[in-house]
Amino acid sequence: MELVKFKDMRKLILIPTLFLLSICFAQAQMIAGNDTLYLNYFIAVGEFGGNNEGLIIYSNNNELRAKGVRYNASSYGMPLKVDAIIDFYETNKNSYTVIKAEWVLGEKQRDYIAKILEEIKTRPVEENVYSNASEHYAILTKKESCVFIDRTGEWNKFFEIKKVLDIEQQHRNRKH
Amino acid sequence: MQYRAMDGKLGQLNVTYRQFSKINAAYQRSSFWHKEHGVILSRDGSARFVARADRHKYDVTLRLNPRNGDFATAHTHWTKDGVDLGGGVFTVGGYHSPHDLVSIPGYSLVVGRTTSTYSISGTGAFNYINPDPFIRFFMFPWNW
Repeated sequence: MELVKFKDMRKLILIPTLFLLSICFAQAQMIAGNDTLYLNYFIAVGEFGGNNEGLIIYSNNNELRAKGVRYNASSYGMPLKVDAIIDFYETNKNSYTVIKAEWVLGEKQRDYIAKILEEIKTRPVEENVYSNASEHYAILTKKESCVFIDRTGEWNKFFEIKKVLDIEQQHRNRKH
Repeated sequence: MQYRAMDGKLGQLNVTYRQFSKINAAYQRSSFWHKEHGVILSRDGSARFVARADRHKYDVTLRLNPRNGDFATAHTHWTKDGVDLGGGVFTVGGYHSPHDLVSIPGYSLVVGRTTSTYSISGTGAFNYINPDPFIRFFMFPWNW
């Protein structure tokens, strides 16, 4: 009994510690080095089309800077596979229109981005649910890449991301 | 009459009268409410409409339960072909959109205003159902 309790206690301490460490790691990773972080997302316009937008985050003069972009190409109609999505963004890395010019990220925005990166990485995928207007979120750095395919298209996290980072969201002709 | 004429077949798919009727009803509702409707077909011959919360103006979410025998889906396109939604996005009429082809698994049917198609997941293509057996009543003018 004693041993079981000790194991449970260990779990109770380990889980929050690991969670905090992962957030700290995400923040450190975002800030560290001369790497560039791409946080991209596909915004569906119903089942008939959509835009690929994203944030390009990099460090410059010890400041964390970002710019909001819309990719000139669209991943609409592409197979919903992680590799295909990563390939799309790798191919179109330099082909975009700036929708919010470079700015220095504030502390709140940095914390928010760290949180959102963690959410995207850990979000569970719903089984056997298929929307014909699914969306995706892709995190790309030199070291790693992570894709979350939102099969229901109902998470709509890009609304929040754009609101917090003060990026204008055009009217989306989708859900009514 | 229509069901008998098509001999219970929608493309390569055998459907029961109950399933055929539900697809017809889904199109009528879709046309009236201007929302995409969906029907999930089960191997036991039954069919169910997708939940109201999963029907949207230009898309629909299909929740399948393969363990209970769900094996095919049907959904509607109530708009005319080529309606401009802005940003270079145009609607698709009575056939599968590119996103339908990549995201809907299994056997999938689309019922539009005048035509209908079927597609088998993974083929990346759709086929017209000829002759189109679905019944469509238009209570309001075409442009409504």
